[in-house]
Amino acid sequence: MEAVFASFLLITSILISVYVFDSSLRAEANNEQRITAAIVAESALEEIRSFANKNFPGTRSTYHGRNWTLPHYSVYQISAKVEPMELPLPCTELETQYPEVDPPFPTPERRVLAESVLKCEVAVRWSRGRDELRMVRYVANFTRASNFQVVINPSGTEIDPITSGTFDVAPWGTKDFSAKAYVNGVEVDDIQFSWYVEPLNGFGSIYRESRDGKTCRYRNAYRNYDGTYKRSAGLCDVVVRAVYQGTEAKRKVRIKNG
Amino acid sequence: MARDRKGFTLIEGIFSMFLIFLVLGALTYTLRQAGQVKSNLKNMGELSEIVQVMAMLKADLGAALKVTSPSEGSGSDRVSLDRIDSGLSIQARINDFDDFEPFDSIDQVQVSYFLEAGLLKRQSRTSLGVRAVERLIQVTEFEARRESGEDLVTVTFETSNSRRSVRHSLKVALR
Repeated sequence: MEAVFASFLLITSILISVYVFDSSLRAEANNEQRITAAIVAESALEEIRSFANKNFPGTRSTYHGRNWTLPHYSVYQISAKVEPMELPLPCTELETQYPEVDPPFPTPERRVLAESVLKCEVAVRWSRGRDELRMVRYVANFTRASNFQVVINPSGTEIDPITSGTFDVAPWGTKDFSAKAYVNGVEVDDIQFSWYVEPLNGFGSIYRESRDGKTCRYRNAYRNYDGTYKRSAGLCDVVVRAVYQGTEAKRKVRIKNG
Repeated sequence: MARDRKGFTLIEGIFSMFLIFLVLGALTYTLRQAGQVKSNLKNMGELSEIVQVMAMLKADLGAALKVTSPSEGSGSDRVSLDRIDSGLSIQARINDFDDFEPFDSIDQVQVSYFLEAGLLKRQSRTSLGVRAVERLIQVTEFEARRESGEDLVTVTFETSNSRRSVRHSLKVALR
């Protein structure tokens, strides 16, 4: 009886030590594969980033749900998930200049950039799908912008290369404008426009500006220091300005205040 | 007549033989595994060096202002690029000798990766002509390729030791 029990203990201890040793070896081998999988995932994300620099709008349709392998790493199966990502503007101080009459929660409503970034998730599987490594990166369009322009609508007839018009605005009347930005003829989404009035021999004010900054309402009136509304007949320019990749573009429309 | 009861029964003999074989088997298996662990540790050491070189290549290509080799649509046995000298502080880069331009040629360094005498080397040369060569790892092949119409550089190299040869590949998007 003692001999059987002693044998049982001996066999169990041997098997456990062999199992522990084998497990550590397997983990060791898996570490090497995991590091290689990380290199593969990095390369796959760089491939997506390169494509996004070339054709940002087509990135999702090309890579979402795609499965592929890289040369020299055929046992590592890559699958990608590309989804749009919303980026909220980070500073609420900047939001307070856009009050609304009946604001929804949260107040002020935050500005969201929906077209600027894609969330790319790459999964690399090996050992016949038993092991997996996932890597996530936000991909933006870093193509260098050239021929950056802002277009204002309605524009009227050209006065000089950046000014057009002239629009008559009746006393206390309003006029709506919208703006778009283009790089090499392709519209730039999520850009922030600034609207302001440059007086010539008359004056008015930007009465309303949409939350995305794309539209504004000019009013033939302005608010004085004491809070009273006044108007100043004559000419002034409504200016829209945007900055993209450090390049500034401006467009003006001339207003004739009645 | 009394029987001689010294020695082991057949069952005892078989069981003890079974135990001896079990222990010897486990010992052989363990020793073989120990050999593999040693080999794996060596592979891991080599791989960590390779990963370090890849990270260096990626950082240089990612920060490149201009890639002179490989040119677009071709392959080359050398990676050459111009980048900002990471050793210079922003104060040093905006000195008044070059009109406060932080990307001037004096602020740049030319970096090259190439294979020489079985070693992958990284050479950096500043505009003042100061040259430094780092010996990175032993490789048997080194090639960089840039597809036409794409800003993607694929760097491939092969490492080998007495046991195996492995090809490594890295893709980097130029920004």
